[in-house]
Amino acid sequence: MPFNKFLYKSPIIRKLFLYAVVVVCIAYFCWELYWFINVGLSFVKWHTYVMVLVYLCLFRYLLGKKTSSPFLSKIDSKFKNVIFFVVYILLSLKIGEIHPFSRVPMYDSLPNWSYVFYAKDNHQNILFTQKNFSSSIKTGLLAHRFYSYCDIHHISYGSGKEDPFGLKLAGRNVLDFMLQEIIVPPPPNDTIFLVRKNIYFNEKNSLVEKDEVIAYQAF
Amino acid sequence: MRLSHIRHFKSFIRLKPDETLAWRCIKVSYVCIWLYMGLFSLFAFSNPFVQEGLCRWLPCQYISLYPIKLVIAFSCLFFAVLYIFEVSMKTTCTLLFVLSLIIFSYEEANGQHFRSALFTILFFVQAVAYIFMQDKNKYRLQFSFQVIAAVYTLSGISKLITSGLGWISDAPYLLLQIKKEAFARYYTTGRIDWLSDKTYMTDFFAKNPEVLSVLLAVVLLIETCAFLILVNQKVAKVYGLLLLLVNIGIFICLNIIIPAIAVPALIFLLNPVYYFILLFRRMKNKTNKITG
Repeated sequence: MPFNKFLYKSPIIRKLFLYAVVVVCIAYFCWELYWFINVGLSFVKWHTYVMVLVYLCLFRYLLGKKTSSPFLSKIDSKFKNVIFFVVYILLSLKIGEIHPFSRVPMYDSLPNWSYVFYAKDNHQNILFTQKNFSSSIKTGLLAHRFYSYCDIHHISYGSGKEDPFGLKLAGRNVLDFMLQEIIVPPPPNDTIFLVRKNIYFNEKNSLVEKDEVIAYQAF
Repeated sequence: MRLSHIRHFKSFIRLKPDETLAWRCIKVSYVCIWLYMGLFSLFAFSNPFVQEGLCRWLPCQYISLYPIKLVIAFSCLFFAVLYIFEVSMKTTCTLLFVLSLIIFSYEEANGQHFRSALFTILFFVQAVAYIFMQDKNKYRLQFSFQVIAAVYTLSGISKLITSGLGWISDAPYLLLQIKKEAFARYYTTGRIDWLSDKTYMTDFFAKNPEVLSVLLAVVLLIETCAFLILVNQKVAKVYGLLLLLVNIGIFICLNIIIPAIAVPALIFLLNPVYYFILLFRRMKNKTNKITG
């Protein structure tokens, strides 16, 4: 017999089960309160998030019980109106950038540097991505790929602080991606360079300046 | 202008609400933009190297195989058609959620961040509304509004957590982003005018950083208070207009549209296709009355 049918058929056991859940919830709340007083916000662990969901479900169940109170039914409808809002924010803050969750961190900090990547040949001609590579490659995507590679290989980046080896590794990843989508292959013995342009704000003269470094070269 | 003219204009633009048509317009616009973004992400990338999310457990490298991409693409098209015609919505929404999850996880595995979470989660909440809610007509929209509000509020919270209120005073550094976008467009298209077009704007903001700070403060306030979308439909519409203005501002300054967030939000909050159709119908009726 399924568990919910079993509960439905025996009201005493159903009541006992409900009381047990309520007792566990109260005990858990007291326990977390104790840890909050002792260690501050460090009391938040994975089970805290699970218990938030349990509290919400319990709250919803108790409200869902037939009630003549218009106040409670109003709270019930308000609960339905915010449940996904609250749960999605909590889970996204906890989980971070793992699809389908995200903290939506676009431009959440405005550092004093910004990178643009482009390719050029050994005659110093810029290889514009729309003309030389597949239309799906846009210059902005190259920077995304560079940052992702640096993140997963723990290479620190920004303000031109990458060590030469790390820059070379991440640069190779980006240039390999570009070369997979090349439309007009370069003549033999030609070299393609991946250039990292760093744009920064010079605090002394209040001007936007830029410098360029060759991140990787492919023969 | 006479008062009768104003009344006439008001009666002209007063549009009779039609909930079925409104939902149909939302569905079609939303699923079209989802298909476009999804198929682009599926076919544009072929080298997953980030083992995160779904790709930590699933062998995402197999998605790079062309026949598998085709199977996924045709499944997307098939279920998109079912979604538009509302065939077995419980199953359709659930499967669209799964397909969206696979495609955008694959995109993230390729090191790209289009922030496509909203696409996937919108299908999820609609599936929940169809499966668990009695008043599904109300909750498929209400739940969608909730996740849209959550995404914009999260964007504000992220800025406050990462940079605090210093985000507003860091306004001069936004000039770097404007410059970067101009260079990125130039290196993509080869058109030198991208660089000259942006010089005027960067010069103006460099001379008046306080203007930029005020604009950033407004954006932060709008994003953080996005939970107001949940108050009622009218507030949601007003908020939709505010978000439209913010996105137009971002487009003018940075040449960026964040389609994976902005477009679904505007479709659900403003439903422009619906109002366009209503206006068209109204104009047609007027013409018929004059000619008939």
